[in-house]
Amino acid sequence: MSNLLTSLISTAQALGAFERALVVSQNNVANASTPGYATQRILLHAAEFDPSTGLIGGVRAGEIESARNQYAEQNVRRQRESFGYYSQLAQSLAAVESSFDATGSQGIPAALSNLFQSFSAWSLEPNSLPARQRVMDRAGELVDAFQQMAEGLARTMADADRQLLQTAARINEIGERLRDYNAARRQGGLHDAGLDTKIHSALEELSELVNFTALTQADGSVTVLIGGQSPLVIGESLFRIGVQFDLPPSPPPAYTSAPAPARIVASGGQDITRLVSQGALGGLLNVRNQALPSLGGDAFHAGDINTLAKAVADRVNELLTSGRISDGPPPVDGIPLFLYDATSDALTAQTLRLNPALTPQTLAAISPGPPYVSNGIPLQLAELSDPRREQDKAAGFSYAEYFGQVAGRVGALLADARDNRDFRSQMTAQARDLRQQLSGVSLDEEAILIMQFQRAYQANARMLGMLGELTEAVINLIR
Amino acid sequence: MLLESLQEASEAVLKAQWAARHPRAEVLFRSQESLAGAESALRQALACAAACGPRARPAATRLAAGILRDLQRANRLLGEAAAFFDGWTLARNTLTAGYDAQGRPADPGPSVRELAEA
Repeated sequence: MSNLLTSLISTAQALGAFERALVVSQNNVANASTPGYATQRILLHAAEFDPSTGLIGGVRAGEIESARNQYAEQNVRRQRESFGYYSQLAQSLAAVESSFDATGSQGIPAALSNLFQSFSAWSLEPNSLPARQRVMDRAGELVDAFQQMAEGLARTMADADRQLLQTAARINEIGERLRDYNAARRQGGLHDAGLDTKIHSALEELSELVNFTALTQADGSVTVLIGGQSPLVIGESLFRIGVQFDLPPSPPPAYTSAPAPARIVASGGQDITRLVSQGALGGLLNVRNQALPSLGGDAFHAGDINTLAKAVADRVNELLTSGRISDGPPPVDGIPLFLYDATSDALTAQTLRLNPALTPQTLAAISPGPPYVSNGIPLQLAELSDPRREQDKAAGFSYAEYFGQVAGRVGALLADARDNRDFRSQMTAQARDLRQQLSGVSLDEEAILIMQFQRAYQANARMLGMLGELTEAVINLIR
Repeated sequence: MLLESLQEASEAVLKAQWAARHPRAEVLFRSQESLAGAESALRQALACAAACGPRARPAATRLAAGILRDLQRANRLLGEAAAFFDGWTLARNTLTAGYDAQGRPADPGPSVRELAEA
């Protein structure tokens, strides 16, 4: 009886396996002209036969090719996540870089240079009203330059906010599609290769937007976990993500009146920002929460432009207020040239303005000393262009050099993002090629393919190493 | 002559980089011709590098730096393809033969392979 049962089970299993093979063939014919469809094959495995230990033998459909397809798909998605990240980073940083003039002929560096020249001209004619007026005009231009830079960075931040919301909406929309595909799967589409293609296509599209793990369940449905942890789709349920621009409960912000960072929240309201590291969403988060705040400031960063504005304003004010407008009697002390909102270091550039109480006549030129120097203050102010004293510098650099460092950092970040974007684009093309290579290949063919690749790889890698050494030798000779 | 040689090497290396984007044995074996061409051009560049005038140096340095970057990219692309196949081989072994006593992916060996593919 047990032998009869064993035989029946074995036959049923074989019939199931052959039925699946037939479905796969039908799918291949039906989807011959479907874009993105990869030919499928079914591998039949002989099961072990030993009735005494309950091994019933027969034929069962293989899982290895299916696992290989998943592996190749995952590789494509991994590369697209990285491509999406760098692509977004390059796009957003290009907008930031446009605010920085590398030539120094306009913007903050030009305004700084013009202001220092006006100090120098004033030092030659300390009582000249036109020279004093030029100082006021140039100071006004510097204020405008800082404000324009702050506004430009704020605009870029607002753009990043808008893109974050749009990207989250696209992620949710793809999640909706995957939820619907899961429903179709559960309603009998387990072996529907067309549905398979749609699911893989949606997952690939999603991978350019955010990093995630996709798990195929026993019922054929796909579970999508953002950052490998936070659910986006489970079976027929969608867990929408959102973007919030409010302060997290901790740590406490350093600058409460400055913009709060962007946070990605799960449908339950949990903060999942730290899980998002790749894709366009990861790139946008980097720009919105790191790159832009490091320049223009936010609730947790003062921002380099604000630091520079504060350093320049404070030093100029310090020198002017140490001087005298007139000797009197009674002597009249100098008053500051610049004002700004001192309650937040993250808003200095944005709130920088000329002191309305100051006129060309009330610019303090006299350094009371000792030694007493009638044009001592403009002389000290003129030295700010080529500083020798530490108090005339910002973080050890002249103000122009400090700005150059910041602009250089933005340029380097952008160049790195572009380089990585181009490379990741090549990697994505390679991952697609590898997926195609393994599609519909038997395990025997696969073994030969891998063996041949290894031989070719070793030969090419050796050559590439040698060519690298040769190129370095050429560089060393012509450098 | 230096600039022409470097230009020639650069074009050959770009072909090898393209091949690394399509890492099939036949493509990679074919790209060895390009790499041999790059070697010959680089040796020629090396021979005339010492005599390179100061005016050609910046352009030559830029070209050579570009070649080095493209070589590194080709190398990384090839490395990624090798890692892909290695990763799959490990995954396949665990699917067919599980893990060994040390918890590492087991070597399926010929008997298990026969069983899996019979």
